Amino acid sequence: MMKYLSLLIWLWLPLSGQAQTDLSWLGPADLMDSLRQAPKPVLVYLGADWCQYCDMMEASTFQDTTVVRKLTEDFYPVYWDVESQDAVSFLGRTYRYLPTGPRNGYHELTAFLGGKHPDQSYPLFLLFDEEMEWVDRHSGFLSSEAFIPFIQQTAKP
Amino acid sequence: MAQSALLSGKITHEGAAVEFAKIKLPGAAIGTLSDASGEFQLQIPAAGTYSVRISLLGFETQTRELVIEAGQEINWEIALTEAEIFTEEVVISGTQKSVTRMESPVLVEVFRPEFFRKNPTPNIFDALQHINGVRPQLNCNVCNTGDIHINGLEGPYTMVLLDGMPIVSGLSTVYGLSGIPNSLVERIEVVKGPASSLYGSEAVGGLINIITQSPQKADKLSIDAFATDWQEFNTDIGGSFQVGKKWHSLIGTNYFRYMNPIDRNGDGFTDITQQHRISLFNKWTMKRPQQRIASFAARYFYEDRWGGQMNWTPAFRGGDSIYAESIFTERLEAVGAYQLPIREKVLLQFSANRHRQNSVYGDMPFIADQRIGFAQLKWDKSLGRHELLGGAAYRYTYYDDNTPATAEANNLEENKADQVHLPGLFLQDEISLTNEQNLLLGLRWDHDSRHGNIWTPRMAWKWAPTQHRVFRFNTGTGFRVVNLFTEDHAALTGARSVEIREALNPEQSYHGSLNWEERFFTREVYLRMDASLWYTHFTNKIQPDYDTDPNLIIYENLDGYAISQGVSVNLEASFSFPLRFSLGATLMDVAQFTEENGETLKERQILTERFTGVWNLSYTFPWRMTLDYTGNIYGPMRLPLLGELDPRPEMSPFWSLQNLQLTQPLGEDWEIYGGVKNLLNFTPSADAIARAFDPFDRGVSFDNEGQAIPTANNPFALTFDPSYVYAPNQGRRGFIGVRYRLK
Repeated sequence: MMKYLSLLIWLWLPLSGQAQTDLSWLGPADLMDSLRQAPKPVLVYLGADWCQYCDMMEASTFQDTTVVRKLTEDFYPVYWDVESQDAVSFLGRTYRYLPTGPRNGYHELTAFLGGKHPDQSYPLFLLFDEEMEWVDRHSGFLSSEAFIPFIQQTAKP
Repeated sequence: MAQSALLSGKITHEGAAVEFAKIKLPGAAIGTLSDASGEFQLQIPAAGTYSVRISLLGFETQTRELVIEAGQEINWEIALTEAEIFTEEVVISGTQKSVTRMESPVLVEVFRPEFFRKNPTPNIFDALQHINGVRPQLNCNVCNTGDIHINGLEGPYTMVLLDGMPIVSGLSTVYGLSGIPNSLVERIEVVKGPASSLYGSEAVGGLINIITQSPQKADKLSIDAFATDWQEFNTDIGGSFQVGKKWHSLIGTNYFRYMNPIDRNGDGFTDITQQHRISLFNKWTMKRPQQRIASFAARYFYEDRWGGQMNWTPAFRGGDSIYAESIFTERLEAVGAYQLPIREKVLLQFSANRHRQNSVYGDMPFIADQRIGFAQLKWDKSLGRHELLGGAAYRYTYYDDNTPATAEANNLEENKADQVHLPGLFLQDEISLTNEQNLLLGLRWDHDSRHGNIWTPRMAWKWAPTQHRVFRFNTGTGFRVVNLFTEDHAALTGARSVEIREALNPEQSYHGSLNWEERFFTREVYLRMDASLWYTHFTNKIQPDYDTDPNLIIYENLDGYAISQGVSVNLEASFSFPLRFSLGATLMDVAQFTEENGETLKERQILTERFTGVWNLSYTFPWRMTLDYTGNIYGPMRLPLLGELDPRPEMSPFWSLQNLQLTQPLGEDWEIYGGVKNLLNFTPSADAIARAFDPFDRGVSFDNEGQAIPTANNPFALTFDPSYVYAPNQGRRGFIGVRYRLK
């Protein structure tokens, strides 16, 4: 058992080692500054530390050079950790963590961005145009082949 | 050509300028954005009446009518209001088992209701079988009550909390667990290893914290009902609503019914206990300034269960002609939390519960009343690198029953209820040493009204050398004060009598564990692995001795020491195609060592396996149907035999329970599910109840010392005994159910 386990680890290590993405995600609070400098469409990515499919996308889709180039040049990519408990300012409004009991609660921004949607799961991607008008949403894993058409929806005809 | 007009204005929210709000005239296809001072100017090409839309993500969209004449300049002051936030329960796809608190030096495993739906169960007790290292253990072949073992340590060493409050302790560790329905649960947190420094007595083997749903997040209406072909029916109905602007409420009801005596193994006894129970739960939260907490919840629970000879009816209850064990349980629980309206973060938590039980084991009655009150003041403080947590707690336990356990020491005729006062103080400091390392130090002091001062230290260290690798080392002590009559079901079966040979001391243990957590992922696969190594040393352990005399259960302080040591591994995998699985395995050694004539004798703990495995595998088809395959495997356990002549095997076989389920969502609100439980149709051997045909030992001859002796009709010198139990007596069964949720 341990032998196979260590073999597995040895196999995966080189791959997980390079899981550093060149993509730099903005925090929600930084978006306003960026939009002020130049309007661009916005991709909001809701993820969590425990979200396995988020990690898988960071190891694949967000390593893809086309995806990285497109997101960096043509978009403002914003990352939001849904488990965050810090108050955060996003487009002029302050969102807070609201405890509902000693060990539970929710963040207003997570709830707001998640919205009233029945099959919500992470990763969750929200796509906005350069005037922050909602374009589309997707929850779940997206390969680079599926991710490009998803973000291309903001392209002007 | 008409002269153009000008619309200008300022957009604010609570007095502050709002930048980037969009002002749009859809009819004229023009628009602009507000600048950093919230101001905007918009040239209107022609006089007329326009509809103006002002919008920004996060705020309510406003539509205003603009009537403007040529050359006119109009200035608007526009105050935005915040958009409503809908709170939703989030389904965590692929990570039903998720460790959210990566940063904590103590490993907390978090399980969400989706995890337990892979093999639906009517209550939390049964659901816990799917967690590696946690085993719900049935203690009795007849009444099917059980306790929760963590890493081989028995139920009384496991602390079960409801919203962080010790609701489930004493009597209810055996009689109250099956009454907690899954529908109340937002998540379950499991900590293996002692947590006595934060939670006091009982948190020796581990901690199970059941966090109930928030009324704000719960569905407006939810229904989950299923039935099995054994005619077990389970219904959960929940709802949430808002009262005024500040109050939210949640109501949860559970009804379970199994009233269909079945005897497939032909021993004359019901295979599975008949049960009939209802649970009503109501929780309120209030919105307060500065996000302060105020919540209150109450629950009522009633259960009627009986198991016994197939021809039993309630008319025979307590009599000595037809044998059955019949238990009526009534519980009332209240839990609350209130954050004090001061600058410091101070939380007052309180709970109270009453457990009343009227039971008979054959012709032996057991009538008990238990009340537990608990209050705790907890203060959270961040000071630079230090996260401090301090508090004071007070626990009061009242316990009374009809046995000599609650009688005057020198006059057994005089009843004297047992009352325990347990005040405590605790302090914990979690220090961020570096970005990679955290250290947690904790110390607790309790004063037990019978045993005096008890000190409990704890230390936990976490080192995360990379983002995907964590090592943890935990050490600490645990303690527990024994209360035989509430904890050991076997003590009550009536088949054996209890003998306490000396004054029992509190149990104390030292514990160390090492944990390694690693995540690997590529574009095709995600793997999460964690491995733990643990060692617990008991300087005193009170272990029921079933072996010395088959008619007695003997309790004495351990002359020697006891250990629980082992290793457990969990592996979870998800793929870029819709397959997920998780595997867990635990190897352990739980034993006690006694000194005898200068020699140390090792004895393996009874009813404890050396190996357990647990798995679940899920695959989702393109038409949204999900297949879940779940299972457990248990290694042999040493079983309690009735003397040297007992012909039954001393060790149980390897056994496994496996389940299949298909779930199909229908639209957005409905879901149907069905499947097979105990696919392999495993049941223990039919002789698990010794002398089932003679439950009142009428055909047993005893010698002068009360020992059964071999006779022609009892060649193995057995007595009636239902404690030879290692697996549920319920074979394969199909189930079907439906879920509905209205958001």
